[in-house]
Parts: sequence; C-alpha cells; structure tokens
Amino acid sequence: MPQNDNDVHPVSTGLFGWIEHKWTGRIIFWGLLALSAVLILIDLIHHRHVQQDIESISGFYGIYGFVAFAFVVLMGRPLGWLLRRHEDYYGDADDSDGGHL
Amino acid sequence: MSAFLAVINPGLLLILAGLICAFMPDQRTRQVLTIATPIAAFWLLSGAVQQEDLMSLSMMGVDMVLYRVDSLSFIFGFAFLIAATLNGIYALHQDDRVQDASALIYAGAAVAATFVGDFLSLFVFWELTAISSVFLILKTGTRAAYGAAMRYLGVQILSGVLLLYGAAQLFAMTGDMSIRSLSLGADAGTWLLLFAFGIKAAFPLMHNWLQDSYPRATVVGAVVLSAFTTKLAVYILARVFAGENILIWIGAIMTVFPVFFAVIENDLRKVLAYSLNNQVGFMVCAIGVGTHLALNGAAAHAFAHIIYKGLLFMSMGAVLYRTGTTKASELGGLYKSMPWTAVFCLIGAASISAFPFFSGFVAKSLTMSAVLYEGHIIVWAMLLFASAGVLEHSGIKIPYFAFFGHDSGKRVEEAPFNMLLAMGLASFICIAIALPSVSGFGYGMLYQMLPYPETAQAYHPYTFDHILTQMQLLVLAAMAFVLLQRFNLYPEERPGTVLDADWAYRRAGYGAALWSGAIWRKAGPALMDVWQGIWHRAYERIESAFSPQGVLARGPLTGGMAVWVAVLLCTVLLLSFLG
Repeated sequence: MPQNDNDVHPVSTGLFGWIEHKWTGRIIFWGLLALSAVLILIDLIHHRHVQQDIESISGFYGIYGFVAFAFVVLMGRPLGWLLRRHEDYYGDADDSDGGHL
Repeated sequence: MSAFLAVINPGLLLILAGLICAFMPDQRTRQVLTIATPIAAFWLLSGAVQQEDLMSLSMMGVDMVLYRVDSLSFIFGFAFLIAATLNGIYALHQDDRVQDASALIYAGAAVAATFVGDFLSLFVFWELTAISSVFLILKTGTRAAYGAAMRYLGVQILSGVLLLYGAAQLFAMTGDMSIRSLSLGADAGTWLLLFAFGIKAAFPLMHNWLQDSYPRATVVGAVVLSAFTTKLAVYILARVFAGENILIWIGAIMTVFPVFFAVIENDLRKVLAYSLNNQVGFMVCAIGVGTHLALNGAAAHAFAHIIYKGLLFMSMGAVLYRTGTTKASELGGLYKSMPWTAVFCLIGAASISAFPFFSGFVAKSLTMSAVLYEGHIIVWAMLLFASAGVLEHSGIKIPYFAFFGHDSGKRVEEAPFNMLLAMGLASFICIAIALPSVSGFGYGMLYQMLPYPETAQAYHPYTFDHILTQMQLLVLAAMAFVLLQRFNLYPEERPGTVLDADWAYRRAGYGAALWSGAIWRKAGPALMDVWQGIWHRAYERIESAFSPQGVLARGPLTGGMAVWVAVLLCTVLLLSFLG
C-alpha cells in the first residue's frame, strides 16, 4: 500500500486497482498456468499446417518460448558477474559531482 | 497540386522549417512548424508520381537524382513523417530552439535521403543526419552526454566517409553513381558501402554508438533519435543489398546478442537501445533472405517498429521527465501516479512482443514465415529465441520495473498532456494497423503500402495456427517469468556499467592512448637524448670522413693519387710491351 494515498492518481484506482488485491498474484499465476495448459492441449488435438518437421512437435512453440525465456533470465546472474562494473567505470557517471558541464 | 510542388523532395521542406526554427524566438511559431511541416511534407509526397526521376541535376559529370519515389521508399518516408509529427507533439511542452531545429532538420535529412537516387546526394543527407542529430544528445548538458555525443559524431561521420569512398570506387569502376541493387564482389567499393550502412544500422561490434548515445540524449532527443538513423540504414540495405546471404547471419546474430545485455542492463532507456538493435536485426535478416515476402517483412517491421519503439521511448522519456531517472533499481510502482503512461507503455510492450492484435504481430510474421519458407532452420530458431527475448526485455522488464514491481515510493505528476497525446496517437496506430482487416481498416492498411502489395495481400497473419503458436510462445515465456519471480531466480536490478564491445575503444584503446602518452611524457626526453646522441655521432663520423676538412680530403692525397695512377699506367704498358 502507498504511504500516502492522496498522491495516487485517480485513474490509477480504476485502471490498476486490482493489482493491490491480495488474490491478484495467485490469479495471475494460476491463470497463466491454465492458459498454458489449454494452449498445449489444443495443440495436441489440432493438426497444425507446418513448413518444417520440427514445428510439428506438439507444444513446440510453448516449450521453446519457456526454455528460451528461462535461459536468458538465468544467464543474467553469471553475465552480470562477468560484465557489470561500478557505475563510474568510464569516469563519466551522471550522478557524480561535477557531472554537469 | 502544382507541377512545381510535386517535384520537391519533402525532406527539403522539413530541413527548411528546421532552419527557420533555429532562428525563431517565438515558441508558438515553432510549435506550429514542428507539427504542420511533416503533415505538409506528406501532402507533397502523396502528390508525387512514382517510379520517375522527379528532380535531377548533373554536376561534375555525375548525374544526381534528388527526388524519386517508389513503393519501397514511400513506406519508409511515410513512417518517418508520422514519427516526425508525433515527435513534434511530444516536444510541445519544451521551449528549446536548438532541439526543435535539430529534430526537424534531422528528420528532414532522413526523409530526403530516402528519396534520393544517387550515392552522392545520399552522402550529403547521410552526414546531415549525423550533424543535425548530435545536438539532441549534447543538450542534456552533462559531461557524460558530451562524451557520448562526440563518440556518436565520430562514428557517424566515419560511416559517411566510408560511404563516399565506396561510392567513389564504384563510380571509378562503372561510371554509375545511381543507387541500385549491387552484389558484394571482389571489389572494395561494395564492401565499403556495406560497412558504411552497417555502422548506421548498428551491426554487431559496430553497435555501441547506439547504446552509448541514445540513453544519454534528452527526454525528447531519445524519442527522435530512435526513429530515423537505423531505419534509414535498413532502407538503404533493402535497396542495395537485398538477397545478400551474409545479411541473413548478421541479422540473426543481431537479434540474439542484445537480448543478454538487455537482461542485465539497469538503465531502461539503454534496455530500449539494445532492444532497438535486436529489432533491426529482424529487418536485416529479412533483407538478407531477399524474397518478396521477406522484403515486405522488413518494410512492415520497420514501419511498425518506428511507431512502437518511439512509443516506448516516449513512455520512458515521460518517466525520466517526471522522476529524473530511468534506472530500474530506483523505479517501480509508478502506475499509481502515471497510469496513462503505464497503459501506453503496455501497448508499446505488447506491440513489440508481437501479441496478436498489436502491430508487431502482423509485421514480424512476414519475416518469420519468409525465413521458414526458404528453409533457414537455424536462423529461424535464432529469431524465435530472440522473440522470446523481446518479450523478456521490452514486453515485461520495461513496464514491470518502471510501473509495477517493487514500489519505489515515488509519487509524481502524470506526464504533460502533449506527451500523453503523442503516446495515445502512437498507441492508436499500433493497434489500428494490426487489427484483422475489415473493409480496408486494420492490417490491410499496412499491407497495401508494402513494396510488393500483391504478395502481401496473399499473406494472412490471422490464421488459427499462427495465433496458436504465437500465443504458446508468449504465454509460456510469461509463465517462465512468473515462475522465476516466484522462486527468486530473476536477477535483481542493480546499478552498474555493463561492459560491451565499446570497452575496446573506451577503455582499452583510450587506455593505450593514455598509457603511451604517459610513457612518452616520462621516457620521451631520455629517448630523444639517446636518439639525438646516435644521430649526432653518426653525423660526426660522416662529416669527419667526407667533409672538405675530412680524412678523405686531407693533405697531398689528390696530387699523390694522380702520380700513382700514372705510375700504374706505365707499369701496365711496360708489361704489355714485354709480353
């Protein structure tokens, strides 16, 4: 909850008020899971028109998307460790004193 | 429209308006100019006869074509003009002569370059895009922005020089300066051109000027910059190198590698810069495939991308304008104070992620299908991987960390009305050109503008199979996000500088230059002494031997020599008589 409700934009309550609801997280999680299952199930029943053999595997796109996404995110930590340096590495961080000309 | 107006390159009109803005103190007049000029330019363009040299001149034996329109240049020029109009609206709140002028001249140069027909004219406008746009970075006013602007200018000018050099080589060999389809051969000219275009399109390892400069540009500047430079390069690649196989691989690599940088980058405008790189990769790949379907894909993607990427930069610009930062580690929960911006950002995110009913879907499908039809399985798998990556960094990371996620407690005002209006219009276009086609409205509007409209009309993006596969890809990828969040496996956003290929010149190259400078300062005098000592001694030796006072010129040598030569001759004569 925001510390100061007076500062919240009135439109926000209408558009995004549901985010605050305690069930929202669970609904998103189970909703997505159900949707995933439905999409894979349709693929098992429905015969898709394909260009290449690999596409014909049921749920190929879903599995590929899941694995690709997870791989990218999981690479974040090792890559960050490898490539991330302090903010003023090049000596021109905007926040440092005298950053402005 | 009068015959006179119909032969004016619309880019020149924008450049003229930009020049007026540069000297116009009255804000109201500039506001009118920045919005009305692109619309007037479009009116000029719509009256142009296609496939004809509308304005040409001959200079120094080179035929220059200053205005020529066809279906390929039309869609790019049209997209540039829409972007220029939206940028004008987005910038209404600021009273800045330099940025207004810079944005208009830059847009004008890009439009003009799209409609010229020879490499020499292209060079002029190519360099003008660089020179006019640098002010959009400089105006931030920080030292970091100044450094980035200078690096940007250096790289862009280099691209222009390579373009001119390549075109000159080509002219020397063929005597033809016209922009035409070329194939990469043994001659250096075409390769130089590819390098010139590649720098501007931000090919892998030549890409860092983009991530370096765009995030440091002003609020409006980054929006303006995102539309023109790289897409001008995409256009010219499609015109000159369509069907070059090397582009398929360059494009595919270009879609994949920025995904990894985007996931660890903390500055959300820099994430968008990496995402821009990744999107241009799809277009470059399609150009490499080179079939009608693929070129349609490149053009459609460029059109859709100019709008939704501009929209995403606008939303992050609004965040920067209100909160003073775009660092993910300092943001979150902004939906409470900037709900409209959040909605527009979500529309941009859905568009770039290619959700059905959003513009990325109808545009990217063309490219994906073209790659698959030509049997490039590995490349197709790379593009599919990159599509999941786009969902990660632009579809989820940008809106999630700025507007949702952990509440930063920042309570600010909603973006100014003009910014919301520009974002709203961009959002409208993102959806309008993506809806299933009903009586001319919907994606049909986009498809009929493509370079090969017959091929486009035969393609149907909204098939059951296609929606199913795309939804599978996106929904299960989103599922991965939710799971990773739940198990705390999503890496937290941390401030820092992420090293990329620009390390080579910003750290290693710059370091080597500093180091050699320091060494020279320290060891220089001593080294100079040694060198001068050696040279001095050698000079003395030579002088002591050969000078008029030297060993060889000393004493009776010259006279004695003559006597001895005479004696020798006599001896030889005597011996020959005796023999």
